[in-house]
Amino acid sequence: MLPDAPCVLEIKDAYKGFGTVEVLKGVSLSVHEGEVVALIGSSGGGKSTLLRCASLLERLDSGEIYFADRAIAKSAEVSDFTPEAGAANPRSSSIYLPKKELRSARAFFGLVFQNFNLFPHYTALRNITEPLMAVEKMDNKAAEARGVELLTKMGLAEKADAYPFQLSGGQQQRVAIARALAPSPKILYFDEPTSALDPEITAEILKIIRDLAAENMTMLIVTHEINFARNVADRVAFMDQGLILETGFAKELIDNPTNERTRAFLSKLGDND
Amino acid sequence: MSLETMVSMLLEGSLTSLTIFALTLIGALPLGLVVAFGRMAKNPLIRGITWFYISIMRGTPLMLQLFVVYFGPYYLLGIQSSPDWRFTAVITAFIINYAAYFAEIYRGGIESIDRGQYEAAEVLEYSSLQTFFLIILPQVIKRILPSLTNEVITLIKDTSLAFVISVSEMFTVAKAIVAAQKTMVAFGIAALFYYIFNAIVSFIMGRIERIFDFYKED
Repeated sequence: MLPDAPCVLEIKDAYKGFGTVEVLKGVSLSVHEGEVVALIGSSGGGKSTLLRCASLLERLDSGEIYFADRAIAKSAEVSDFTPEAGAANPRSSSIYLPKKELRSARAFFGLVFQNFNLFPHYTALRNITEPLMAVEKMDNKAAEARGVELLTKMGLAEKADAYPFQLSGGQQQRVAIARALAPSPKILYFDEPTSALDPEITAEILKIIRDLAAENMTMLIVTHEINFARNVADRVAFMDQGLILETGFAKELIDNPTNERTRAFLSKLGDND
Repeated sequence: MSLETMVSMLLEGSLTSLTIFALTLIGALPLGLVVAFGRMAKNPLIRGITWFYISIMRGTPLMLQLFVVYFGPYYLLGIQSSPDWRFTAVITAFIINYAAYFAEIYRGGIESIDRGQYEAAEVLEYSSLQTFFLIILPQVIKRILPSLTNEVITLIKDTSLAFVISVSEMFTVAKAIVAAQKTMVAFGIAALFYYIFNAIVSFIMGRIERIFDFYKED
């Protein structure tokens, strides 16, 4: 990692609750250009929620989000805002960009889902080209060239005309990665990209992520694959109960965690690795 | 009356039946979508009104609705209806009745689509309209086609209800012939027509379903 590289994604003091359940309790995270950050931690710790907030699929209750220098969500002063007040969420104190600007701000990132979420009525190629044409207003030819280029990169050139139901889970996920990469995002998010896959297929997805890392793609990855995080990520952030308890260089943190709960979490995993 | 005359009279009536059928579909299929949106609206007032409308349409006989639409303007508003009103009333009643049924089918289909489809479209910067018409609706149509086929087949038979306000569709004609000629033959021919018409519609709907077979959901 280049320590002085500019921030691509910055989340400051993020709070998010659903009903009375607080899922994020003051999380700050930054991802720098060219960096791969892995978010690890037990289920229900808030990793996916944090990623969904960074993807603008969920809105923060309070806190700030920056895409590079651009403020996406800013905190407004709320007089009765007391984070210590337990279940009482500091509601609606994040002010987001207006709807239209928010929509175009999404071009900044790409998101790869756990369940792929390909469009079943489009072929592999069209899953990639259609958004380029419908949203980016790219012309047919340019979109197709881009689609073929990315499918080839994913080793799926010969599957261009296959529908998602004709592809294996791993192939579907590769198409989904290509689709997320197509508009050339500045950062790529992965939400447990291998959790829905058979163990023997996991490796093929992890290899693609590793290749992207080698190309200096900036990535934020929610994952349960600790070994993968250790080997591919530059930094790892450990989340538990709505907080980032520890963050550090991937190998250091995973090999020598300082936080007690990080240690407990990693040793539990170690048992079955 | 010769069989030939009977058939040609019934054929003429069947044109009216066909017109009712076609106009109802043209009106009710899009209207049903609008109603479905009302039923799923965030605004509780809109949702409540649509729920009430659907429950009335599905909870009372279509025959009664035909009477209400036909006589309503005169008895409720004192408007003298024009001779054209008879047919317009039939179409109106059929459209608002069938739109309610279609709305519930659409709603079921729309709500069955995985949230991930919306989220994928959202992060790819699709607008709400694009998401609905390019991503959601095509998948909804595939899922609801079998239920739609059911309704469409029912509609063919329901067109015969227009006889209650004396619109001379096929069944009205058949009934008149039977009464005048004291023979059931006209009913038999009408039944055959309905049956053939239904067979054709079933065949066409089957074809449409097969068009959507180009992909499967896993």
